[in-house]
Amino acid sequence: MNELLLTIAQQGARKATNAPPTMQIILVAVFGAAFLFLAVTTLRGRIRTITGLFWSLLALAALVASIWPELTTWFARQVLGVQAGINAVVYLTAIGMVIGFFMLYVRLQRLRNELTVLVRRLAIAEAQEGGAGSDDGAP
Amino acid sequence: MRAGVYVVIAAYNEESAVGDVIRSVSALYPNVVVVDDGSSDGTADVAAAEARFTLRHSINRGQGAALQTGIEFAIGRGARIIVTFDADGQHRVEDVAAMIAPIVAGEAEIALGSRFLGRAVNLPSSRRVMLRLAVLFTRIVNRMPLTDAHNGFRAFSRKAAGHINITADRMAHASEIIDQIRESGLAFKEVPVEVRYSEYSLAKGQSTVRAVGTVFHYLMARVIG
Repeated sequence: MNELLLTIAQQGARKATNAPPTMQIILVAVFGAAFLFLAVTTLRGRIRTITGLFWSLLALAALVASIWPELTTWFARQVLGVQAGINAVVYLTAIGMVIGFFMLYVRLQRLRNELTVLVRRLAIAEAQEGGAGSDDGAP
Repeated sequence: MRAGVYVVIAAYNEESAVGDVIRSVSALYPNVVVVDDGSSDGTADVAAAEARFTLRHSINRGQGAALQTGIEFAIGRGARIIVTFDADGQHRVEDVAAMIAPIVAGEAEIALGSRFLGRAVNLPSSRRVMLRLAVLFTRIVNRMPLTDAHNGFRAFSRKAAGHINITADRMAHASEIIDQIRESGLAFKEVPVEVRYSEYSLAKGQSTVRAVGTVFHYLMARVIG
């Protein structure tokens, strides 16, 4: 905890000498809007609760990290054992993307299989309508 | 007996080769089922003119998908034996009799053609190495002691065809079929066949890069379940 306070103090000292945090303002605005939009959408039941909850929490975490970026350094050091907060963000993003790609692959395969079943049923139905259903259907 | 034999040919952009194949097969086994897998050339027209049954996939779904379509159609037609046969002229119709013989004799429910028990004519060394690796893969991953893993020449009894449900749309279906044969516990037999390679068939065949993709898709399908 002492390290957290020290990190925040160092960050504050840097901020005092730096230019206005334009990027930080943009990130806070974007993630804040995203969190509000996702929370409202979830509460109104427009998306599945579990999906809405996941994305809302992700947006909230990004919002908190945008407001207090030093928290990512503290989290990286204390929880993940990584020195820099930005490294932790990159690692977690990479892991998240791999999981995301896998889930998308699974969903895509299922859609492909369903598409194949439809194409197959159509092909067989057309063949039967076209005379292949009887033994006289020879060319 | 021949009336109960259905020969399923999956064809994709095989306009120049499939006509001769259909004619040669039809001369001995009239129930030829061609599944045009969404070809962009005149394959469907050639098949409609030459084959007894022509089915058309509206869009390309892959060889595995096309074979399953043909198998389901043949079962629906009351087929007693279903033979799968390549559209590019690699297989010989003379070998069909040997393929269906173990099924007719009640020795096996499934016959798998083996070019390494028979002959592989004009098979390039690189392709031979790839096929041997596929056999090794089949022995390790599929746990099946086969001599030829990815030969499209197969014969199924009606009962066995009912156990086969190809869900791997593209080339990974070859390994999937082997898995399903093992899981079904049905008797199978490898039959020596001749496979003749030509410039055309080699160009249509699977490249090494695609083979790697096929292995990836097959393993992923096993993970997903």
